[in-house]
Amino acid sequence: MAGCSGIGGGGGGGGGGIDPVQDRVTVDPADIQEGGTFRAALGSGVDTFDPPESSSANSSVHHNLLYETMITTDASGTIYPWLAESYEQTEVQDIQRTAYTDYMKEVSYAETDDGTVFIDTDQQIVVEHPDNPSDPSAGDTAQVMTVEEAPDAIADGTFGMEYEFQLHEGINFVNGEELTADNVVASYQRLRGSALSGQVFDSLLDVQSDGDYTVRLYAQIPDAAFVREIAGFSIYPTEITGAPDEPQNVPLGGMDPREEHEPLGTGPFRLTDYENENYATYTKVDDYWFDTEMKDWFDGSSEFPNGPVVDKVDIAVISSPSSRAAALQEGEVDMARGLSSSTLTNFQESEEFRTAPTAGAGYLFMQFPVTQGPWQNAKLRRAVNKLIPRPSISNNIFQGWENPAWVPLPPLAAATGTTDYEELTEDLKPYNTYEQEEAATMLDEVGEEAGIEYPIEVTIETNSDNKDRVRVVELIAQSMNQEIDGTQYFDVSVNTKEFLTFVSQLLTENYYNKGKIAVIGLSGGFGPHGYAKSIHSPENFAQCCNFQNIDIERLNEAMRNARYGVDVAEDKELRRERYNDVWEIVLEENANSYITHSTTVGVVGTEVKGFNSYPSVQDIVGYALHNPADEQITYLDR
Amino acid sequence: MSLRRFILKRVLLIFPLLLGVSIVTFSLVKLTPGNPVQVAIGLNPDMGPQEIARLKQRYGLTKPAWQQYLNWLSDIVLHADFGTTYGAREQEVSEIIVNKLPETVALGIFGWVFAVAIAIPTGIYAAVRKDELGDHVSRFVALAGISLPNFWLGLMLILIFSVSLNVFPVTAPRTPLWHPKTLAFLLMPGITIGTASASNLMRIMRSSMSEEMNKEYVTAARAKGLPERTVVLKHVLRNSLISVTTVAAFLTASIVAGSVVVETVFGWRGLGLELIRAVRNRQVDLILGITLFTGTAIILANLLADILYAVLDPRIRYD
Repeated sequence: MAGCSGIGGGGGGGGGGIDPVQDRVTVDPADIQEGGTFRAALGSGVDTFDPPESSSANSSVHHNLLYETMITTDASGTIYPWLAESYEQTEVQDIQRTAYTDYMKEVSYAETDDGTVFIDTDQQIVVEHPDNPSDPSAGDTAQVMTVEEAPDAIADGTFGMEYEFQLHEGINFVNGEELTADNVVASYQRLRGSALSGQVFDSLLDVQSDGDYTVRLYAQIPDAAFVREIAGFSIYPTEITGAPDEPQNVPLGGMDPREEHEPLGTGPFRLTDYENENYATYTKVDDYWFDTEMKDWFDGSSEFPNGPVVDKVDIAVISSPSSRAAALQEGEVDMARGLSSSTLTNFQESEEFRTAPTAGAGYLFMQFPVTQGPWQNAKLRRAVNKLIPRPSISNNIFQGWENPAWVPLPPLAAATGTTDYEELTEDLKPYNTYEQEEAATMLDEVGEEAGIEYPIEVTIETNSDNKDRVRVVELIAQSMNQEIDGTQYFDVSVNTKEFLTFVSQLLTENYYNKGKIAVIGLSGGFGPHGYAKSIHSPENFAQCCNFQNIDIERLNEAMRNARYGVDVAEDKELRRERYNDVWEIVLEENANSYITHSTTVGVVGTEVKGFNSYPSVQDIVGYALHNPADEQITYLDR
Repeated sequence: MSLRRFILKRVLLIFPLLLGVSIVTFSLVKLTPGNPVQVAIGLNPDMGPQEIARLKQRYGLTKPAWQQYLNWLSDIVLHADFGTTYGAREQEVSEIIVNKLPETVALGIFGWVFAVAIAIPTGIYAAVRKDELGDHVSRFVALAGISLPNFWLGLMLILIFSVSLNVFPVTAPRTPLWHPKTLAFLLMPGITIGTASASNLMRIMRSSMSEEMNKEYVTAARAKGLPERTVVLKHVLRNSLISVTTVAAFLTASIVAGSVVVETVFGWRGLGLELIRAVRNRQVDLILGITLFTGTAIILANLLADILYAVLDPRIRYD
């Protein structure tokens, strides 16, 4: 595996992460056979080929074949410059978002017919003043800085961080246009007002070009995760974006064959055939720009290919998992994913197939109604946490394909999220081990201290269309209902609902006061922040995925201190130390119990050589076909 | 009542029926938790209040439900506009229905032909061999056909003919709809969707034939010395087909309804699969559009059955 040269010392860089790929297979470049069509099956189609308007994981699989970004990562999350030749942090300043007050303007709040109050401006908001009303009414005013004022702030030296990216010269889009800094600027401007704008403009201040190949990215405040969060957006040619600050040539959502615009990028493939909700076929770009010699971080074989070696990629939509498995078995596809645990085990035992597991980015968790009745008591929640039989869930229900979540951080995010993952696990595992007697002792103490009477009646809810998940919930309910030394502490019932119905209820404003426990899954990434923020932060809009009003100030502060500030932006080790504290607080408070960490598994036939799965589903095809950072290449032997 | 008046009365009944279908469907969709904006937030928790307010306004979700219903209905009645889908790409509902309809029609034709082809000869055979072993076996098979759930039968066919015997592909071939390869693939879903209908039709055929065979004209024909084959196929069958023809028209309704399950099992990209997708994603206009469309198809099939029956048996008009 190629090492990381630590180019640029970017604050977001992983560096030396644990390789999550299990039983990695490698390919000798001399054995590679070129050509053929790699056929993959996914459960759903492409919502749009226009990435700013899509947050679907299966769509990203397609996007990653077509479009590229300024950085790339290996399977362990280490960041490498990609379209950029290099990048470096050029300036960091100790400022808060209040520093932008002078550049802010007053905008009124407006109200939709159903009473939703929002700031009424068509401009993309970059920074909102912290003193804006917390419960505004229509007609109130807000102080905001929009994209219009951001360049003025930067010109005056007001910004949190500056990163300089140096692009490779001579990279062409598939339409023949050469990639320049203006393309990067225009592509970021295309994110304004898009579905993904929220996750860009909560950190990004502005993007500016400096000559043909130099791009500067500015952060609002010092942010250790800035590069990882912001530099991974796709770059498009002028045919799509228009020039910077000019109207877009193709409106948002329009870069799609169904809108009669070919998706254009710098990627190794171009879309050549497509049928809505049926399949998409990609053909290799003949004069793909990449060459291992361009990358000084590449220390692999000089024979390693300069791009994918298959001629075509065909991605079929097969919605039923059993049909996907059958299609793989019948040789109609080369790779399938998203199969049930028992199916994976069957494939694992077959000599005609290979399962390629990689520690994933998903996690299953149980959320307590932390503001209701006895569940306000953290010790009670910790006691329940000790009644979750994680090894049984992992071994018996998931048949080993998901792993017990001994810590709230998967190995995938270990590089930036802890100083020593093994030590963290050793330290925190006692919080999560199944200990009936200890749980009983804690419950007795809580009962006495808080005057709680047992058994506590509660319902655990989950989505009905995931059978494994339903069995997990039933097992937890059974465990909680057991008598310990003659005392029954809980009277738990299970309620299951169709996925969207369940999620919609979680998103309603008053779910938190129903007193129910919910079990659901989420997906994070290589950065540690999401694992804590997604389910433990009051900053999430509409309390999404945090539907029970979790607002623990010492945890909020610990999370902020681990990501934001000059100290952590400049000192990776300090950041890792800070995150150690975050995980300890998460388990101390136990507002959510992490149950298992996922595994991403692609299953392939024996004709497919060298296939390894990427941790996140989003790049399971693109990564497998070609990723020099891991010397990853897949070819077809047929 | 004259035939013309009878037909007019039946046609006029369609409109309140369709209105009822639309109100019930709209209410059910609105009562179900979840809307496209919540789906969008679930997929993208970082979405800000501005985007959410914009989406709500854009999709008309800020208005009261009754107003949303009236807007939707008036768009259809006045502009033939069934609305659009929500999300990353907006698509005309009518365009989706037009694009997906041929697939569902093709599947329906297979199911219908299979049902009729199996039911008529088996029904005749069972009636002629009434209370003999062949009759018992036919009735048992028919009962099994009615009892088997579509999804189970479909999965079994896939398991046997695709996975074990490798006769049919698991996934639909990427050939045009009327290409031999596609038509061959349609055999399994066609059999699946047609089995219950075949069983129903066979039972009706059998009872209708049995009833006819006990009538005086049959005895007279036999007494005249006509061969049994001529009696059965020329005289009895013709009269029996009156009721079977009308039931066959009703079959269209059950085949349309069954397409939802069968298309999902076989991954056949017709209206049924599209409806499932629409429900999962809370695509209100698409759910309403497809439901209204299929509801209309079912109502028209029933209307056709009523008219056929009235034409073939004039007594029905005076009921």
